Formats: sequence, C-alpha cells, structure tokens
Amino acid sequence: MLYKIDKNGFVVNEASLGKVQSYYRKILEEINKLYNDKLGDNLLSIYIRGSVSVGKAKPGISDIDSIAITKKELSREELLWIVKASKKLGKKYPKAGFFDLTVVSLEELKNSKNYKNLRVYLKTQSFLLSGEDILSQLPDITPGKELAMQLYGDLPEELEILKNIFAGKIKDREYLFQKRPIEFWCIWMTRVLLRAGIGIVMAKKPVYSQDLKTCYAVFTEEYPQYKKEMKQLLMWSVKPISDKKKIFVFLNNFAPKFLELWQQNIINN
Amino acid sequence: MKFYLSSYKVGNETDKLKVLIPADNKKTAYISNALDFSNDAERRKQSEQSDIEQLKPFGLDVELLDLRNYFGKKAELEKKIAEFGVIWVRGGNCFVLRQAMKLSGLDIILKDILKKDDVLYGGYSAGVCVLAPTLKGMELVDDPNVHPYDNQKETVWDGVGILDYTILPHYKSDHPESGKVDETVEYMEKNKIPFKPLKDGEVIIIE
Repeated sequence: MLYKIDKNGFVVNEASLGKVQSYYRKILEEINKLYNDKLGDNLLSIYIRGSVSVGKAKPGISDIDSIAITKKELSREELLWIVKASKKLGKKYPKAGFFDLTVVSLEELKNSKNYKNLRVYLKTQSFLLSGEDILSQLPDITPGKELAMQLYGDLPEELEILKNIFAGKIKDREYLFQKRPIEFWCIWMTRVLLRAGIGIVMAKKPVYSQDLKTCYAVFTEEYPQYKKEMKQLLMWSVKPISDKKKIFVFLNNFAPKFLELWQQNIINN
Repeated sequence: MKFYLSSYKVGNETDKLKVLIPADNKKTAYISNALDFSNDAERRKQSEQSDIEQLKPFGLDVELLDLRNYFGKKAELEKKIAEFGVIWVRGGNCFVLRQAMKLSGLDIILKDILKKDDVLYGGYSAGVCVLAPTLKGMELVDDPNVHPYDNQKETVWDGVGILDYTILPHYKSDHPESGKVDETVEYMEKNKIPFKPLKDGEVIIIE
C-alpha cells in the first residue's frame, strides 16, 4: 500500500499508541523499562515503529520494532546486551513475534548515513513511547528526487558490497552485531532493489512505500521491461536462496541496467 | 481422517496427539501458507522452525509442503499428500490459507480423503478456522483483502466445509488477537453462525 501524502506533500505518519493492540501494550511497558534500566540518564526518547505502531502486527511473524535514542553515542561493546535482551523478550512473549531493539544517539540519527532509512521510518511510521519528542529535528518526508537521492544515493556502493558478498569476497558483514547467512543477504538485496525501484519512480512523481509488493507494482507499471527481474526479486524476498553463484549472476546482469536507470532518473534528471 | 484442532501451537492434549498419530506413517506435511502474506522471509523461517521443533518430539518426520509449488497441479499434490500420515497446518491469515488451498486443490483433496482413517489433520489457529463452512466473521481478526497470489485476486469467503461450525481460536487467552476474537464471538452470535470458541491450550479432537 502507498503511504498517504498530505496537502503539503509530506508523508502522513499514521502511527499512534492508541492503535496498538492491547496485548502489545504491556510488552511496550517492558521495553520501556528495559531501555531505562540499560541506558539510564543517557536515554533521550523511545519510539515504536512498524506494524505494531499502526495496529497491524501479526502474532508470531511481525517484528516489535523499538528505537531508543540516546544523548551520547555508545560503542559496539556497550550495546551487545541488545542481542541477549531481544532473545530473552522473544522467549518471554513467544506469541508476540520478534523483538528488534535499536539504540542510536541523536547525533548519529540526524547525521549518519547508516541511519538514513531509520530517519525516514521514524518520520513516516512511528510514535513516541516515552521521553523527549525529537521528530521535529528530523526533516519532513516529501517523496521526490531529494528523498530518492537521500535513500538510494549510495546504491552503486551497496550493490558492489552485495556482489562481493555473493562472490565470496566479503564474509564478515554484520547486521545488528551478527554475521548473517547468504539467504539473509539475498533478502537484503531484494529489499534494496525493490525499494530503490520505487525511488526511481519517486524522482518523477510523489509515491512512497516500504512494502515490497507495492514497490514492485509501482516500478513495473512505469518500467514493464524489467518485470521479469523484479518478479524474481519479489519471489526471492519471500523465498530466498543460498546459491551464491546464482544470485551473483543475477545481480551482475541486472545491476548495470538498473543503475543506468537510477543514474538517469535520480542523479542526472 | 482424524482431527487434532488446536487453538495455539500443539496445545495441551499432547498425550492424545501421540495416540492419534498413525503408528506406521509419521511422515508429516507441514503447511505454512497462512504466512504467505508476509514478505519477511527470515522471520517466517524462524517461525516455521519453531513449529517444526515442537512437532519433532512426537517422532514426526516433518517436511515443509509449500502449496505454492502445486498451484494448478492438483493431481500432483494428491499424489504427494498420499505420502503423509499427518497433515499439519499452521496459523497466520486464514483468508490467505484458504486461497492457497483453493489454488492447489488441497480443499478438494482433503474432502476426498475424509474417509481414510489412517490420516491425521492437525493444526492451529488459521489452520483450523479454515475448515469451517464459511470464513464470515474472521475478517474481524484477519485481513480478508490480502491477495498474495497472482492467480487469485478475490477473497474466498467459503471455508473448506469439513466442519459444520467455525472454530474461534485464542478466545479469552493471553494472545494478541484475543480482543478481536471477543468481537468475532459477538458477530457470530448476532449473525447466527455456529461456532466453538477455543482458549489457547484447548484442542478439539475428532476421531
């Protein structure tokens, strides 16, 4: 589904605590306590984003996505408790789904390119659970060339890293402090390309979505010549493979064509 | 066919489940197409793995049977299903599961093998809701407008029709959907649709 755009051209944030299913509220209280215990005075605010925040979480499969924003940046070592805490919550609430805990300093959130997606997620689909509301410090989200550039400006570099992973040249890339199997990076690639697809369209008209099927539909309507490749990506997004060679061949063939389109629409246009 | 219909996961009647499992065929088809609405393949795999781990202590030899591989290939699926002593259908979105059953022909196959007494149909949540005569009322819990398959863009409101009532799982339970199930109970009563509410842990057994 495409996100709603208001009369000023901004993506409407439809998340609110009121929409959260009652079962999840006690869990949110526990998440609140956990962050407070672990981060103490350094904690600035806690946000809940994603399907829980709009009341659409599906038990057993949805992520409970929370973001703690801190005053000062913490090191990797200081944040390793997150892995254990996520697993512990998952065991305590097996019916709920999966727990995704993120800790980021305000400075990193505002300026680091590592958090460019998170900035958008927070502005478009999250609510403040506790602490200081910092959303006004982040730019409003207006679908268009600038947002496409912000989100997908580093696409060539990202695709190069992925190619190297599938070529076996990079073996130590981590996500949330953990090394991941090829299937994970296969899904990652599908998300990068499908969402960059809507980014290419966004440079021409005001559309925005995180949903992969919507990204596929919007992009292939505009560029039907890439339907076969995008369909393959959509399929791998739900049924990833671990055959590195096969993914590499696909990416090696498709990336130049896709990047040309990206160059024409997002960079040159 | 025998039935072990649970509200959530394997439920509390595990001793009875052990008895119901065909002694000479523990091969189990694990069907998770009720999750086809999700595009989070990693989470899906984790969730499936958790289910499969729960079934293994019963001595079951579990194989993931993806109905999507059998869309438009009913005869092939029929042959495959004949290999299994247990068909275990998990929860998710019952409307999505219903579409997958229709497209693969599993709905018809299940009715065809109803008279076989050496097969056990087990499952939970959407996997048991789908056996009802109708899915009316379930829209209060699951989104009926999810159409993940190219060849099925309309909601299927008819249930498989093996039961003459609707099972409402997660009733008055510590479950995220229990509140919505209360609303569904009201809907069923108002619209005179026969139903049986099940609390998490509870199981309906049909022999």
